[in-house]
Amino acid sequence: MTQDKFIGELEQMLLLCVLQLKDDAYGSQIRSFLADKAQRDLSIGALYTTLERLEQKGLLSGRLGEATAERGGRAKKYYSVTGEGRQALFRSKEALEQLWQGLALQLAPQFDQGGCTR
Amino acid sequence: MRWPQPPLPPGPLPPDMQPPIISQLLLEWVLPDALQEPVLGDLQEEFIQRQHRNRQRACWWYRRQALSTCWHFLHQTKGDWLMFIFSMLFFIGISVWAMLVSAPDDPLAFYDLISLVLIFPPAVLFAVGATSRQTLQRAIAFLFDPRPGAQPQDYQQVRHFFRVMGNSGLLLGLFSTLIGAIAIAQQTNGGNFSETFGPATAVCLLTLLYGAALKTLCYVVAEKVRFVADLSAQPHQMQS
Repeated sequence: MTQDKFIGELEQMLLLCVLQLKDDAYGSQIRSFLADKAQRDLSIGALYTTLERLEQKGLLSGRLGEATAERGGRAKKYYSVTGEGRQALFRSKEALEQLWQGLALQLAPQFDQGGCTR
Repeated sequence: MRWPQPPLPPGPLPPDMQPPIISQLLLEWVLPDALQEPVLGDLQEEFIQRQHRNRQRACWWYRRQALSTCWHFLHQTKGDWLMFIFSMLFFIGISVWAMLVSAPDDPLAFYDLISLVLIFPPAVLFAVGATSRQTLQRAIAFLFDPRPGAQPQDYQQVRHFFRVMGNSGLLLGLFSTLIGAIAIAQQTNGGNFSETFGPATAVCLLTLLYGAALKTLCYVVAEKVRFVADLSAQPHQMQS
């Protein structure tokens, strides 16, 4: 059931990367896009573990693409976000917006004196 | 971050542009079949970009990625194998511990090269003789990768190999113990009984100990082969 499919922060980030990259969402591109935009340097192993989990949850679908010389003749695996994935993302965004309502985050140097105020 | 790179030469990559081969082999061993193409391809793609800047750093990057990827997938694809190896090492460790506790003053009391030579090489040779060299290769391959999916007759042959090796080890142990017992009986007399009987009997019994240890290990491996063979046969049974 879609209602039961909660996603963590990394899963949310990866789903958004796949959406942003559109037809060019394969491992290497997702990794560098995430590093560029979110300064999150994931290892290939961590990336694929999460992508596989999302695929098993039905939030992502994967298909093998073309093989190129710089990949040693190995195929790319392209990912796309499923309808359930989009719903899960939307629900997660709504929940975060609800939780953020009325809060203003104060960063350093007052960080250690209670970060949030109303 | 993507760096501009010169075009690759046509055909297969030259050896000096290839990623570290051991890391590649390790990844091929650990990764699930469905992920080998995309993961190895992604790593190679990024490796080539990096090595245009500095090959040595690119190689270290590749090795780190390979280790990290193996860490993520090891329990998923090799969990059963790890448990199997752990059980073997646990048995060996406990046995060594028991030996050290039994003879704390002499850690090498349970080591005898002649007894080892009398048991292990003949047991392996008997097993190869009773089966074939191909079965030996399959048996070694099974120890490193006991995955289901091979032909039923392959499992049968590998299991037969380990059964022959285990039984041969035990029988060789008994045979060598008898040789030792006869030698002790012939050479022991009233004058040297108290000095020689104990140490000579201990060495003589060591061959039986090694044979029994080999039989125990081979029994567990043979049972593992049977378990994997049953797992492989299950989908066929369900289809039929």
